[in-house]
Amino acid sequence: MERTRAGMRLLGGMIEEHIPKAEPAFVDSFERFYRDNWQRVYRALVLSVSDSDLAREAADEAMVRAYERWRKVSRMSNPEGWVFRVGMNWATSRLRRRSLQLRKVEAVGVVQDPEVAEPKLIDAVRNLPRRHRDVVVARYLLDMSEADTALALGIPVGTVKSRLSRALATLKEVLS
Amino acid sequence: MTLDERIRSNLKAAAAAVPSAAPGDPNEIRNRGKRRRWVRRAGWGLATGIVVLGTVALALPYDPNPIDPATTHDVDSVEIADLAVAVTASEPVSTGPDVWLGLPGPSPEFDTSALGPNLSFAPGEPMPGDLSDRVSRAVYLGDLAGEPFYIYSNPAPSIWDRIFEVTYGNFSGDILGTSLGCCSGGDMDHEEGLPGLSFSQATGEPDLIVAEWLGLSLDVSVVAYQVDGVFIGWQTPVGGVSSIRLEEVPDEFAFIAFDVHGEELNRFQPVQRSSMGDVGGSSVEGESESTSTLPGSDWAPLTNEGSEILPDEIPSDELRALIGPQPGDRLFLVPIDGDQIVVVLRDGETPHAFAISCEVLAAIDLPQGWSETCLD
Repeated sequence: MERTRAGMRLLGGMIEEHIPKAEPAFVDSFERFYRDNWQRVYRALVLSVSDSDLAREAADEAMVRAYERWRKVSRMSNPEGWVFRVGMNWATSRLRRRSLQLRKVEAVGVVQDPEVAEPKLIDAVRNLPRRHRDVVVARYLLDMSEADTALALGIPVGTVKSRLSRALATLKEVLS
Repeated sequence: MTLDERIRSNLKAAAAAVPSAAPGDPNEIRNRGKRRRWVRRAGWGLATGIVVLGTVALALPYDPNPIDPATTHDVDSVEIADLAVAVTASEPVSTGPDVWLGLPGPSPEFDTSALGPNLSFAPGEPMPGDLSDRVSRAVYLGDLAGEPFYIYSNPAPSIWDRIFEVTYGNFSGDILGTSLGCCSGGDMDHEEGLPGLSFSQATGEPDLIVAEWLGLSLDVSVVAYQVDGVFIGWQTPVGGVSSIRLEEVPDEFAFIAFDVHGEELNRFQPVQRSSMGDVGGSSVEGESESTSTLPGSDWAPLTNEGSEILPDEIPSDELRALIGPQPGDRLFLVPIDGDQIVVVLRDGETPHAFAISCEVLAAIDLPQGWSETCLD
């Protein structure tokens, strides 16, 4: 096993030598995007999947994929939304493939935090069906427009509206 | 403070309260992305060479004849990264890379109409011209939408992240799905060919969301796919492999394997929790009832309360534009508290409720699994 891994590392080094160097402006624009957005995407993912370790991995994986396609992604109207979506899908995939246990809300310290004025509201958001919760997180936490949310989640604007409407109806009912 | 403002401020506070995590070194992120891009480009370059070599004719006719389950004990199989895929013969029909023909499961002898459309691979011919040399062996499953599909193993997408990955797709980059992520993070945590969902952005947008069940026994005739309580289609596995593409990630799903007579052999139905419980799945092989309940005539209850209309009778142009009626659609106008919604039944899709007002739609307790779209 160790030999295999060492071989892979050696092969990796050989390939590394042959990878063309990216121009500085390309690298700079990605690094700026990375520094500006990683934390926001990570936090949104924590709220979406309730697992900080998984969210960290998902944010990294999404950023790797963003860099892999940076020429295309950087020209998108909402690259952050794209990264959020990729991270979310990747995390969902991991959860379902590995049958992980989702951690309780308490695990990420959200409910008890005194800075949250209405823990009941956050709890209600967390208990929304996943597809509704993703729309709420995109719209209210990431401040995306309905059109951007639709693009980011890969669903029609009308579906964003109906999910949001349904989510708000549920939240209103819970809070009342 | 409005509900919108309350949600926004509380969510932001909750996000701010998430213990901050240190982002990884951007150089490392860039290097990982750079390697993947390089590996992908190298693959394309090599594939071009293979296209030239692919002029060697290899096409043998695909044998769609179902096999008698009684003879399945002595069928041939090929290893694809530890997954045994049943094939029609011990010899490949082409070499460099070696391609075998997958063995189709027995054709169903029961009425499958309640399970939705037939999404099975169509018999065709392997097209070796588009094989990439990153693939050393593959099993041809059949055609989907006119494209040949295979199951194979390759070292993708990054040799550092996964040593093997089983992929089913064609070789021109239009991957249907990937599975059996082996050795993620360097750990040899090989996953078995369990049923489940996979997601991939490998070919860009739109995302690939695939329901899959690999390593099926050879007496499985039909795998029926149920999403959010509604059967969306069925497939006869080939080589013990079944896979269909989904439009979006379902909240609930179930895959049910039937034998040739419609008797349930196996079922995969993840536990669904309404809140933050686990989302893991479980296979309950051997524990199921001997027969399965197929959807009855009450599967679309709202349509019983409405009247069927023609596309011209959709109440407004806005709603018509929203629906975009297609030939073959069945439309039902349903009165809801002085307002109206339109329910659309379209072949191969879940029932879809449309309304101008999102409030009207939100007030309805739609049956589980229905889609919905509104305008304002």
